[in-house]
Amino acid sequence: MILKALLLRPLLRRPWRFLVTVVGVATGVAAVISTIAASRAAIASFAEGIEEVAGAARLEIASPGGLPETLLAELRPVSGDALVVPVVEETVLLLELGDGVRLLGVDLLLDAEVRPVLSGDRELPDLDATLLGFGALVSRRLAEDLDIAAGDALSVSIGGRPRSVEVAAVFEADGLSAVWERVLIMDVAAAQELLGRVGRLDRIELVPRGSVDLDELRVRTDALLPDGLAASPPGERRRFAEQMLASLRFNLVALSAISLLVAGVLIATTLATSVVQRLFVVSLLRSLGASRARVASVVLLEALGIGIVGGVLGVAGGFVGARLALASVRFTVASVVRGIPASEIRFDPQLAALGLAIAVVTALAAAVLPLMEIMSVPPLQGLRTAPPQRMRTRSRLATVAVLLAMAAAAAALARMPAIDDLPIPALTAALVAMAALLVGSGLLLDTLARLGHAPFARLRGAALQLAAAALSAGRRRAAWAAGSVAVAVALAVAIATMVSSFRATVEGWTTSGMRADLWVRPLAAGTGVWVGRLDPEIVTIAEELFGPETADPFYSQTVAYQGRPVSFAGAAFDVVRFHGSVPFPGRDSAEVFDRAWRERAAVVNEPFATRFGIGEGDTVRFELPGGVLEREVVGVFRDYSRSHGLVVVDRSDFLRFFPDAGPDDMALFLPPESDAGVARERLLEAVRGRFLVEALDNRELRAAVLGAFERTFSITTALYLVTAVVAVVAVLTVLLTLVGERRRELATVRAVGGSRGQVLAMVVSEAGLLGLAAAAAGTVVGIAVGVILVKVVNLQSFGWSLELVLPWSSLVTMAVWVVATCLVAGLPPALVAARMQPAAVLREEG
Amino acid sequence: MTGAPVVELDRVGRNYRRGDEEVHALVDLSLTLDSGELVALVGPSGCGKSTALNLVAAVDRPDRGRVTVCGVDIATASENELVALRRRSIGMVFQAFHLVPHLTVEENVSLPLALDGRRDPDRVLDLIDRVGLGHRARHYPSELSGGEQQRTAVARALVHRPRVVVADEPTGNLDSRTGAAVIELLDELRRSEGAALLLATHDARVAGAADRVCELADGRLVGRRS
Amino acid sequence: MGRLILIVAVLAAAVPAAAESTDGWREITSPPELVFPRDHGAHPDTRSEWWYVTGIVADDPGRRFGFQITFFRQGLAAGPPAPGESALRARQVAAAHLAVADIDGARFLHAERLRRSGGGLAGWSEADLDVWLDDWTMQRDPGGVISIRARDAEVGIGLSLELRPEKPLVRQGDAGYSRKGPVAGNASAYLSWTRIAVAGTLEIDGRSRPVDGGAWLDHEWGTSQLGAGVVGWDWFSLRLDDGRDLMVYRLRRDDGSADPFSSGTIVAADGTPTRLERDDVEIEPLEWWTSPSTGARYPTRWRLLVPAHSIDLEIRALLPAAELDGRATTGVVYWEGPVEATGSTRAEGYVELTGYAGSLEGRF
Repeated sequence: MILKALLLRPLLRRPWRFLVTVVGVATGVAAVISTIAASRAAIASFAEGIEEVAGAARLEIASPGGLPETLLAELRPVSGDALVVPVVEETVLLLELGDGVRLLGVDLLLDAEVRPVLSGDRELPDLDATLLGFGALVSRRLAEDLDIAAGDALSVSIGGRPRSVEVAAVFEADGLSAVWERVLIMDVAAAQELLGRVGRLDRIELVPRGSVDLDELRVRTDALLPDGLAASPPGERRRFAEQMLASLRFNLVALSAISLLVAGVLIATTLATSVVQRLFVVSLLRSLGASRARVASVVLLEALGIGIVGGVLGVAGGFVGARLALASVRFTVASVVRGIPASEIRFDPQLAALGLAIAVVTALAAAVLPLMEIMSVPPLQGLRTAPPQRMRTRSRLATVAVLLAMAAAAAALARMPAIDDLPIPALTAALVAMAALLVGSGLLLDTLARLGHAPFARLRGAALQLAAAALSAGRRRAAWAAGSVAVAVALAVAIATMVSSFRATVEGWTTSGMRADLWVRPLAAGTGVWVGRLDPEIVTIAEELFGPETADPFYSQTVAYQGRPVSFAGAAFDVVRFHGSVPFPGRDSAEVFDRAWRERAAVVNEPFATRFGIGEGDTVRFELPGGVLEREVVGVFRDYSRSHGLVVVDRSDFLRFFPDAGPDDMALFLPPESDAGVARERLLEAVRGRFLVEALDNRELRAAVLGAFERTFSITTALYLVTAVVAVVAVLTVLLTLVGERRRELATVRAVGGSRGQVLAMVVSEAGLLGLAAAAAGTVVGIAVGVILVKVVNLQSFGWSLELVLPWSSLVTMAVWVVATCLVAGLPPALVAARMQPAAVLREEG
Repeated sequence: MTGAPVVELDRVGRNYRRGDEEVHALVDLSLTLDSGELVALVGPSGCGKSTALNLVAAVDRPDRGRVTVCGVDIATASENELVALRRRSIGMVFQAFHLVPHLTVEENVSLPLALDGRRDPDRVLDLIDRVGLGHRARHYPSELSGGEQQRTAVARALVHRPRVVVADEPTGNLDSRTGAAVIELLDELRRSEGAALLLATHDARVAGAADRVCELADGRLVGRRS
Repeated sequence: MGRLILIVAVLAAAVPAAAESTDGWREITSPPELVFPRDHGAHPDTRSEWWYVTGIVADDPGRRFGFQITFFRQGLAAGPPAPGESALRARQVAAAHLAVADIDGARFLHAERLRRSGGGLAGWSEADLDVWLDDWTMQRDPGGVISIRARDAEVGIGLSLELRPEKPLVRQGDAGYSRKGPVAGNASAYLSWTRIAVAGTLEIDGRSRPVDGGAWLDHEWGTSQLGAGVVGWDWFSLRLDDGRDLMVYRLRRDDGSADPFSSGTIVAADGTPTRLERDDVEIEPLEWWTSPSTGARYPTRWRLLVPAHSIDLEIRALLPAAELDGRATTGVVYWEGPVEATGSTRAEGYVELTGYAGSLEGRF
């Protein structure tokens, strides 16, 4: 009976409030789930894919630039204890797919012992085609997507070189990890020939036979290997990749966690108002003998219901949202690591359970405070009108003291260094700042009322005065609403600040740093995915066409520096020194490169300098296959195209260690008065039929770079739009409730001479004032958080130092929008209040 | 002063719905209130006293018959006219006090003026003094006793010099001594301001102070005495 | 591991009509010109080749074991590598088979290896007998001693043996030209050491024990050996107590009769070989064993008569269940086990029975 009275009937009579709260929960959960799912699909599965592809191999030998295949025979002494397997692996562009795939060359005669594709009952491929020709095994999924079958031909572009591959067999990937769906499996020898890597391997795997002591095997294997090579478990390679993506992943998750908190606050507000509406009934029931526990359990039950329904909707929405987010995340990941991030979201029951748990916990937590309020109020008192809660001096001072303490804490945290390269203290500072908004919102409204008292009184607007008084008096609930809106505003302002700072910095960087006339890279078909290196012959062709002083090929290889992954790169210093390239703060780029050329020195990017504490004048030391390289650093340049370290030496140094490498891309500095368009045509004509490349002119490249940033930030933008929606919903609900709570009082005003218009104005002004207070406070805190994000978080996470650019016009627009939205959100409750019949309300009293 | 009645009810009927029921609060009520008069409406609860008072206070409109307050026909007047009436010509005192909880005593009392766009701080303070709450002008209703709250309501009802004051069981929530004091105050003030008072009560002593007593039952007038 | 051998068999089967096409491989069409030690090594211009050792040894307490170690070469692509071709291309594939028959324990254990020769982890010399596959090796030193090392940790068997031939190398068939079918090319070059002293260690259940005994080594190479209509063969190798050695193979036709190209050799105590034609030998199976797993019915006791050479033996399989069921892996099921004989003299040796669980037609 209590259940019905408390729970169901109000729900049935006013389903709107329940729905709105559910939507609030669902949106918050959806935001978190979509970011986690997308980042997991793109990042985690990428790393997991590494171990999946490694299969039963427990040790692998790899080296930047690859291994000589003669190393295989050196491993005969351990071949009794482990199966020794050669592997070649590369990302290539599959033209029929228009996207990258992983080409995996394995020993097909042995692979049943290593990977799941050929083992078990799966049908054997046509060995003649695969062992002696260029046959490949393709997953059923890929075959269906491309509508191909065994015997058909596929075209791949390798370093720009188009090659043809025959589909030898289609394998079932059911029960296998999704990574196999985007893999072409070939015989290792065929893959070597296709990739132009005859004589070299990407790695050698060791699959233990029976029970073998791995540590002992490792030691024995290392003893057979030349200096600089060692056997390690596939997990280490995976950890390497994860390290390169750690910052990105952390930031994505942190961002979504913050938006969950924001959503949580908003949910708490709506839930609180929903619960407190029933204060009267609750108190009545208690005065009639219902126990606290009983009543509490019913309220918690409602919260649980909201949590579950909201959680289920949120999880469903989250996986849908993840699909939308994936494209952006994948793009960003692909620009960091070389491989194929997953291209689809798979429903993950664990993540769904997490989302549900978050929803339920948030809803229950949100119910606790209002519940405590209900439960602590003695029954009779709840039957009377709630007394106004104007702040006493003491509590005002206490709040100010707490706020000052929080500000000091935030400032201190923002100054602290990163933990494990993760900007945890700085993000905590941001959280503290946002929390301060919640703590101080009551004080804010109260101050607003006090300050506004006199000016409002002087204005002939009684409505305004009454609205201000109402806001400060209905403090707790209005404060929650104001606080939540302020937090949403702060988040939006912070993100807008970060985005505008980023955009301005990157635009400046591309303008000063991108000076070449053309960029040549392997055809990527707009996928944004890294699809391999250029064939070195293309460099020769360019030099022949335009002269050797024009071509600046850029080579890179991921190597370990002090155990962490960095890019070791080579560029044509002899060419770049005449034109300049990446910007060095305060110095002329060309001069720096000239010095680097003359002194045979190196330049490093900012992320490298930040992470390893190495700057101008210091020495970098690399242990590479074939020797050690030491170079003095003559410049630290700004680099926003990557978040891991980059060290650039002259190409002669690079090619000494990696003689067979092809460049990642090539910049062309054409003679003055040249037409880039004409040059492009000449180059494409020269390679027609032999290579698939694309050449971008200066403008196109800048647009591509900026486009990449926009895509990266599309997720953050989406997140703050979501929070904005939730904020509006919260305000609406709160105002509706406030109106409901103050029916009698509004009726009194009407009875005492207030017109409908005045009552309308009261409620709308209240909403407007709430919005104004929230916008003001939110903007101030948002700017502070934005500064933290720009100056601290980005620097610590990615090693990027950004110029702070506050988007004033956006901020003003946002504030105006917030106030306008609140005014509009105030309209429905205002209309309800205005249309109310005072007699009907007053009649209820007696 | 005598002359045209300040308030006139002529065969007034008023129904309203309560859930599925149709309640006939007033069936056929006729009464008048002359300028400066104190008329008491008595009757058991549910007899329609409050409904009649709401009509007189221009807070409600009749379904049948005519209600004229200060020359304005309540049934046909525009909303603006009714609002004007409430701001200028009518004052209300409720059983449940109905003070705005987050306004101080001073602010509550000045409310009718403020809503009319007028300011008269001296008058407000004067009235507050006269109801004996001068030292409590800055307090909130929750800090006042029942009697003090009602006295505030009385001050509010008179601050704008209305011609009619409508009081619905003003002592209903007060003990008899406090109630008596409030009634005395109300009467004294309205006399000094020259306002007519229509008072609903089921307290016989209160009724005894009236110029006229009208008895209501089931929405009708069933008795009259002086 | 056996799936690997399946691949080889499939490849072999994929080669169209073994009896007809040669795909660039050289056939043995006449008695080969043999130069040693070169011809103990590999002949990569023929399609198939194997070095096949079987033997019976005993440890100190007298426990007897049969063993078999085979190194196999199968060519997939004839001719020299194309320019720019990867050295890892599987033009030639090496396979190896190790089996230990624990006679007293009535257990049969075996292990397999497979690998392409490109890459250097498997291979063979063309200068002498020197073959390897991962850590399994068979190698002949200049003094003529052949060392064998092979072990499988998972199955728990291993061999580390030294083989010393006690008789000179025998050229089987017609001076080494062993014809098995009507077409001239249905033949292999076939050499054997028929009587070898074996000593070394044998590992079983992960425990090594010193053993010694006798062995037989066959080395054959050729292309498209079997003629049409042959479903399998029975191959006997026996070392007789009277000092002679006997090798007989019966090519079985689908009607059960022996193909006329069935043949054999008697090696005298001094090493002189004498060729036996089909009709010189009578073999009568006396007892059978049915494999519970494949349902194939193998003879496990025979009467073997070579009247012209006063040989009348009853041959008995020491381990009837010596079936190598490679259906799930090789696709080839055959029986290979140690035997001993009584009768006109005593003898011990090995018997190989193929084609009882599915015809081998077209596979070799």
